[in-house]
Amino acid sequence: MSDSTHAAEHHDGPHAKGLWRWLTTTNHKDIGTLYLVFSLVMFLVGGAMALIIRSELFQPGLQLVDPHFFNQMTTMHALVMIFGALMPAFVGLANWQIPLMVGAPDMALPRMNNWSFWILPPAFLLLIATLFMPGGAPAGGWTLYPPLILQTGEAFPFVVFSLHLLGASSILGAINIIVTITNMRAPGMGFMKMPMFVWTWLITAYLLIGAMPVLAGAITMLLTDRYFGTTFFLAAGGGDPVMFQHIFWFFGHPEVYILILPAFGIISQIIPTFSRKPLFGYTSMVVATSAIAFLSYVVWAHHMFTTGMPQAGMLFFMISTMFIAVPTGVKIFNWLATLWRGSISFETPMLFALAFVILFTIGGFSGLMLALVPADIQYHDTYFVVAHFHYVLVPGAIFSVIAAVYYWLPKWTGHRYDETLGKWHFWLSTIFVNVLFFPQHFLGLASMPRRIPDYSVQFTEFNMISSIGAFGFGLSQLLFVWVLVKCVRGGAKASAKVWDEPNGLEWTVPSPAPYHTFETPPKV
Amino acid sequence: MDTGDPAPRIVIRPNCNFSGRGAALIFCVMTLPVLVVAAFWALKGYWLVLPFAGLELLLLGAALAITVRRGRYREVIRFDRRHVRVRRGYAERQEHVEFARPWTRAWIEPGAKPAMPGRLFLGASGSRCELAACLTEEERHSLCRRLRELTRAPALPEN
Repeated sequence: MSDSTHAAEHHDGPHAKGLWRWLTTTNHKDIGTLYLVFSLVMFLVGGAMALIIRSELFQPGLQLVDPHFFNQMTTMHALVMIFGALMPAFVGLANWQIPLMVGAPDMALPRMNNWSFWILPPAFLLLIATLFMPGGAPAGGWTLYPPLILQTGEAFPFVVFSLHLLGASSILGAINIIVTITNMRAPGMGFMKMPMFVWTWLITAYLLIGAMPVLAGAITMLLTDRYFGTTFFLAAGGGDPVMFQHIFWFFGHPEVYILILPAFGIISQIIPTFSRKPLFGYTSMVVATSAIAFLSYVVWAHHMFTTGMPQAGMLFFMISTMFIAVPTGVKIFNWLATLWRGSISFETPMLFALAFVILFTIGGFSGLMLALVPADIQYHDTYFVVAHFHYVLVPGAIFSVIAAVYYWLPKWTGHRYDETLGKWHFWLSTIFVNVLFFPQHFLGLASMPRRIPDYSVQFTEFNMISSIGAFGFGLSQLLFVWVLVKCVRGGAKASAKVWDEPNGLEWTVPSPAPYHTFETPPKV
Repeated sequence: MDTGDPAPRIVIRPNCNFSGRGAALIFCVMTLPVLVVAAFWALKGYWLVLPFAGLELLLLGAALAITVRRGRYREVIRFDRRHVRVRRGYAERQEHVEFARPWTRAWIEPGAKPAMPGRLFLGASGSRCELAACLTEEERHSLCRRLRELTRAPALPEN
């Protein structure tokens, strides 16, 4: 018989102090905090850009900014929100929660984890700095379609380099998450015992690994077309600009799921806790998530129905897109079944989760409308598309991040947040997000094109309502910042379990979670 | 820890549940779609996707290899009547140290700075070896106590 001491690798001692701690930290909780704070700052920066857009669109005519700057704002708003706010927010949540949820002491590759965060700030400084370069920031839309994007001024190589850095950061993060989940689960935690948030992140990391090299290749080919005389996408030299759209959306559509799958995981954690029931249909949730991930690779050309493609192609992409409604419907059914006859309470995380289920479904239904070729040809490049993806990404992805922050904040800080202010934040956000985006459906159905600084007068009223909603939504997020600051600084002491019936290893450690947790793996 | 064994043995290893085969399987599952996608675009003439996919897979492979290798680190301490034998390292490169049991002692030295973890040593007659760097402070102290008990224990069999 042998004496076995089975223990975790110990990466660093107690904290270093001050700035040095944050620069050199390899602790998953520190890095998670860095990601989340960075994401919040980027959310405010991207939000400010959105307010510039909505201010200009408050009434017809050119009021505040010139059209070129307006186009820079639409492009930068998207890039900042997608790569700066949403993706880092989910990676931050993954950093904080995945080791806690699988019973690991840290991420598998802590130094790489430090690197993958610290690549982000310089990349974004570079991206933001393009606003001040001759010719301004990129203005051709976040999709970077050539030949338009090749007209960007001196900022172009900086944009490409910045996107490469952001991609590298995402890939490093994804590799770390895959290795952590597969290698560092506590004894007894099989794959089918993993929390849904961990499952959805594993699949998201898989999507990132598949999609990111395609983006990297595409933007490098743009760079060589501009500076090295190649003609991958230049018709004059025998290239094909439409192929860029195919390549971009081959990355871009999985990217959409990269932004929403972790949100599904978060909602699958929160609804059972506040329904005081286990998640209904765990296995079907895992299968549905995998099916969505697989389908996300075979639907890309539904973004390009008006570009022109063979009828068989249109049929294939229409049908495959509609198939995604099946696993997504399974998820929504399972959340509703979890709620059914549950002992439901309506704390702030649950309110945001319920709003997610309802409002994301609205975004999903408008997506189904857009999947239909004859309808899409009418809706394409109108505000209907803007309304659709904002319903998916704002009351969808962003609400899920906010719900997650409220849900786990007491575990992170050791303090209860102010529930009254949290509920105020919820109601203001939910009302204003609908005031902001719902009228955009009507604008789109009435044919208002997207990405224009001026419009015909018949669109005025809905644009005014939308802009009022934008300012209301933006200001209500300042309340969120205040709730966060207040909770970090103090408040009622949170217990280890925090909520009535939480399920998972993260609730077995004290609140706030100690700097080092699960150095000896728990038994599951 | 179990002391029922007539010739006690302590095995110290980091918490990694990857097998080489498991890592290879994960690598293949990741590699196949990435390469298919990259090859598809390369065949269409957009070959610049391929080097990025290759770079990414190299990185993934390196990450998996590092964690698999790290998980194979072992420190095995065996006790018999006269000797304490330590074997540590990886399967392909192991270091063997032997101490005379009656003279062997275990001790913990504090870290170089207050923030650094302590270091557990086993040694005798002027030579020593460090053990259990992969354990936590609490576990290191518990192991140190256990090593002291075992080095003092009478009537250990000849091995």
